[in-house]
Amino acid sequence: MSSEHSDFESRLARLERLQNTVVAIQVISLFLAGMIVLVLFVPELSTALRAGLSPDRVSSAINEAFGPLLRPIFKPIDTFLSGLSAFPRASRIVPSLVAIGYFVGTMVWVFVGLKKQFVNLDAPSQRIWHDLRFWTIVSMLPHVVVYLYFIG
Amino acid sequence: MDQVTTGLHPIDLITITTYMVGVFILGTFYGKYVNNSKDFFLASRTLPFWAIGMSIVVSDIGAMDFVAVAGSAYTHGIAVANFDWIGSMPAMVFAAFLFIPYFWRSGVYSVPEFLGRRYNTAVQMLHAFIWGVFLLTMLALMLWVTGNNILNTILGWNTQTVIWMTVFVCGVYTFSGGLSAVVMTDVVQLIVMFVGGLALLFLSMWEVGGWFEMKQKILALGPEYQEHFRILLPHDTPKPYPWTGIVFGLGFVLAVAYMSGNQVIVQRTFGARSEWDAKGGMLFGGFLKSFIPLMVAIPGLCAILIVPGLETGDLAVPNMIKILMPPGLRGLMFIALFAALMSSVDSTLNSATTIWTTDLYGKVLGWITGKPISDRHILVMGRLFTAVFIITGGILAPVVGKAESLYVFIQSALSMFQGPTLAILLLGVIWRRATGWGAFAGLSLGVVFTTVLNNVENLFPSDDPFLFVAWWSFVFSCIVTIVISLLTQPEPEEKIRGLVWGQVMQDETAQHVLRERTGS
Repeated sequence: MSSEHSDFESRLARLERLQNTVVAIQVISLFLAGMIVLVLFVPELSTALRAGLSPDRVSSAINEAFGPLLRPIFKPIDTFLSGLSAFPRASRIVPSLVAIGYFVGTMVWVFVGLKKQFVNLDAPSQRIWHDLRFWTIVSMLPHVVVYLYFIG
Repeated sequence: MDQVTTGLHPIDLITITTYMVGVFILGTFYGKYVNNSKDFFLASRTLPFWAIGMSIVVSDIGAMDFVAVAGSAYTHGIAVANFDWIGSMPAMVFAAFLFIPYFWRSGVYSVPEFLGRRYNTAVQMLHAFIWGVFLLTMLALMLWVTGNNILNTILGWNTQTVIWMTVFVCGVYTFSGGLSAVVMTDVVQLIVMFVGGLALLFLSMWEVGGWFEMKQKILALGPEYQEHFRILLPHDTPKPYPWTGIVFGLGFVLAVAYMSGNQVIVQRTFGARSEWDAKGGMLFGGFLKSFIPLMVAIPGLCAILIVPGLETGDLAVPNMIKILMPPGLRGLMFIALFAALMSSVDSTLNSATTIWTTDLYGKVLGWITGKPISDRHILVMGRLFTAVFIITGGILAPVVGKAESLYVFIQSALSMFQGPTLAILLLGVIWRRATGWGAFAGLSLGVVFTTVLNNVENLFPSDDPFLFVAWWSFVFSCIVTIVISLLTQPEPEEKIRGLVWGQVMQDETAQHVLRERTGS
């Protein structure tokens, strides 16, 4: 029994060492990747290390390689959103409504989407001023008023 | 930048000296309560919500914010206030209810440690390394930029004196009292900062005749000021804050990543005396943060009328101090700037030390020796790292301050990681099927995607599209993490117990395990 136990322990230790080795390889790879990024982005380092590999050249290569692929995806979105500027009233109201919706949506999530017990776990008392759902409302409502004010 | 304020009245000097000595005594007082690593890094988990909230705000707002945000309001208008309104409050609510409960209940010392438990050591070390390097560089930069660009250039103080005074005072009390000292001195520093900032707001509003009078006069100045009172600028604006970037990039991604994944911000909540205090502290911090634009952005707008035609917007606050503030109040404003510097330095120092001690040093030493390091060892190393980092920060401040490319690189590197980091943090908490390999792929490929987006021309309307890049890198990392997770083996139930939304909300066993883990 004792020998089986010790065998199991040694296998477990080997497994842990193997796992740590895998992790170490991952970390070293990431470190090397980080170094490459550093070399690419700090001009002094890249100049010192490789006279021929300038950040501008890398940037230009990325632009040429990925530009034709990404522009057809992002340009229509950009054009659509820029088109909103043609309607002065809408271009003021839509952004404000989205922003206000974000605040209101967050308040609704806390008040309706979360259980009261979860929100107020460990609260000093059950009184309303210890209810974090009301804290959320009190903290966020002034923001809604501010963004409503700036619509005009 | 010209020196705009010279000399100090004796009453200002007395105020400043009293403040420095007071903060030093208060900070070092907490040293007597530090007996183990939990006392040092987590303030023995005794912090009340009000201290947490105040500390979060003052750790986030540095002296540079006073000058730069006012300067940006002077140049671009009220849109800059978005960074403290839509760029803070919703993110802090999400942090309070979506992330903080898991961090607090798991009893971790740092965000990387949480990621390590949820995913694997590779994700933990990558996250720790990025933040460890970033925080150390920021420490040196903060000392240099505030010491040289504000307190020396503007107020005429000697840069080296400012740097080493800050190093000594902050270094000694952080070394001695750890997180307790940092948070309690932050409370005092926030009060000082708010008194100084509100004084500047009231004096500048008085000078221009109130909000409506100011708005009318600025709008009458010409077409270049017509957008100064528009909080959400059009998508195709030539200014740097289009509404789409502000709402999606800042509000949904950068702010949430910052408030939930930045060790400097969330470490205070790890030290909360209860889960309620941790959540409440975050909400209270968000409430206090709402006042920051009033103290910095509105005086910047007032400066358009009080000190028109400045060479750069960054001169607005110093000029306003010189013109509007009498001796005594001017000393208080100097202290407010100094408090902003000290609070950012002590918080960054303490958080950098936590990450380097527990996530990097502790982990690597554990691998080498094959056994966990003792609590005493962690405490000693925590203090040693504190001393080494603050002294190194002081020595390297001029070097780092002058290496512009390094600063740009560090800033770019951090913005590259924010979207992907939020993706894995969010999925790790809300989706039990997210796996270590999914997170690893999401984080690393997300960073690659960010690099690509930053280098492809004419993708976004802005010249500096970091807000758009943050949003799209987040979306991309979410997709990669989900796809790779579905293609790999699920994490064992025992490993993720108590770290995932559904379990914590519904599973009583998980609740029990968490209570045992935190000892509550």
